[in-house]
Amino acid sequence: MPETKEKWLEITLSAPFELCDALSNFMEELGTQGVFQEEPEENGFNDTGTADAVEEIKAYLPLDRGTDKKIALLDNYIRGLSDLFPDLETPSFTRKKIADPDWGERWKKYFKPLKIGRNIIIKPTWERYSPTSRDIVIDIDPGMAFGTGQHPSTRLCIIAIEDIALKNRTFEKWNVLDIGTGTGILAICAAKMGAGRVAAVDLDPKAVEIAGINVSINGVEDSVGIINRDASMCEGTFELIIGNLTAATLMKLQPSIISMMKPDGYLVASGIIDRDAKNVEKLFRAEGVMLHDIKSEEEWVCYVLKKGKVEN
Amino acid sequence: MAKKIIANIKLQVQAGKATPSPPIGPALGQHGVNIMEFCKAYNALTQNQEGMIIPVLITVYADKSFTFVTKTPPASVLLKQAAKIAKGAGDPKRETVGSVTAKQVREIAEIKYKDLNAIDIAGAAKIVEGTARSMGIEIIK
Repeated sequence: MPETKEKWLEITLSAPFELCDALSNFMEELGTQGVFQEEPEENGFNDTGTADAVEEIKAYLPLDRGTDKKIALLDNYIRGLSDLFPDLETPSFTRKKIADPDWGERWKKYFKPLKIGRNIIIKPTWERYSPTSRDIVIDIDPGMAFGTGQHPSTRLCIIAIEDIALKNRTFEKWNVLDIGTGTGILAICAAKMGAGRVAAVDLDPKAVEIAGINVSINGVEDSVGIINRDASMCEGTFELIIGNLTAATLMKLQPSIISMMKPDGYLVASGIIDRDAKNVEKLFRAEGVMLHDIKSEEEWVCYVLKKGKVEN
Repeated sequence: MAKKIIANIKLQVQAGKATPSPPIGPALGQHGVNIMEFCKAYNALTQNQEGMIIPVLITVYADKSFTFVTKTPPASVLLKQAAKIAKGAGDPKRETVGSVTAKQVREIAEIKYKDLNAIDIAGAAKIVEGTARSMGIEIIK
């Protein structure tokens, strides 16, 4: 699926702080999906500002046939505000067309090869790396999908998968399911650790496309299949299920996940912030799934759960 | 040594629904922040408040790492909830789309007080009243 060039209209509003909340709301109602403000200096954000201060708000509208009408509505709204608050400075705005933005590209130059766990190296496709004989190198071109190993929730999953793979001699015969695969990083990791067959699913067709590219780059097409599907629609049972999601999604998928775990099978559940950890643990353990290991980094918690006897 | 800050960004987006599209893409992409990493963290933290707009203050450091704190929903959103309306007025001078009581304004002021730069609750209530008028919401005394 080729990427279509996006076109956006960047609107920069200047308004007294008293009107910023209502203007932000109006922009949201016009269909901007949100707004942002920026304070580039060291001195921190002055939150809602002080009286007499003029603030700058940025919002983006997709550039299409309806854009001119929305701008006319904004003009009209600002006239109304000006009539209503004659003592305040009248808000104003500038417009700039933006074609083919590279917002998602700029951070890539800061993405460097990263060692995770004992032997896993996550390497961006555009970086060079000389591996040692023990290194298992995973090449990732993240595009706009999640999973670069830079986030604690992904790192914790990789460490958990490596632990499981090293401790289970039959790993090479296992069926693995990766739910919400994003860049495909965890599915590729499982395949490169030797898993027999890995099914990776994602709801986002863009992620499926990106994961497919990464599977090819890593030469694991024979063992990894990427599918655009909701995990609750998956069939089969698995020795290992990986879900680097959110607490709410894991809890929503709990019945499907448990029914797809083989007896003695593992679940690596990640993307959980500590505030929600106990609720996730309680829900899964209620169904005869036992706690095998807990890993954490900063506020992120990763559970390794097992259907069957607890190992020590 | 404290990390050098390169930007402070205040972003208002839907709870649990952050994506790399604007405004998040341009707000963070221009500073080299890993956008998907922010979306993951924001969605995990705000997933229980879906349907709300949750502002977030993001601090970006020179090494492109970031921290953020979430704030209370904007007064405009709380006013729409209180007035049971989906949208504010297109022309607030000539159009009234709903009403809230002075008590409701005070309740919103109490929620917003810690985020607003107001001297006291009465000062915060004045700011909330101004926002209500800007949206065509009448205040019943």
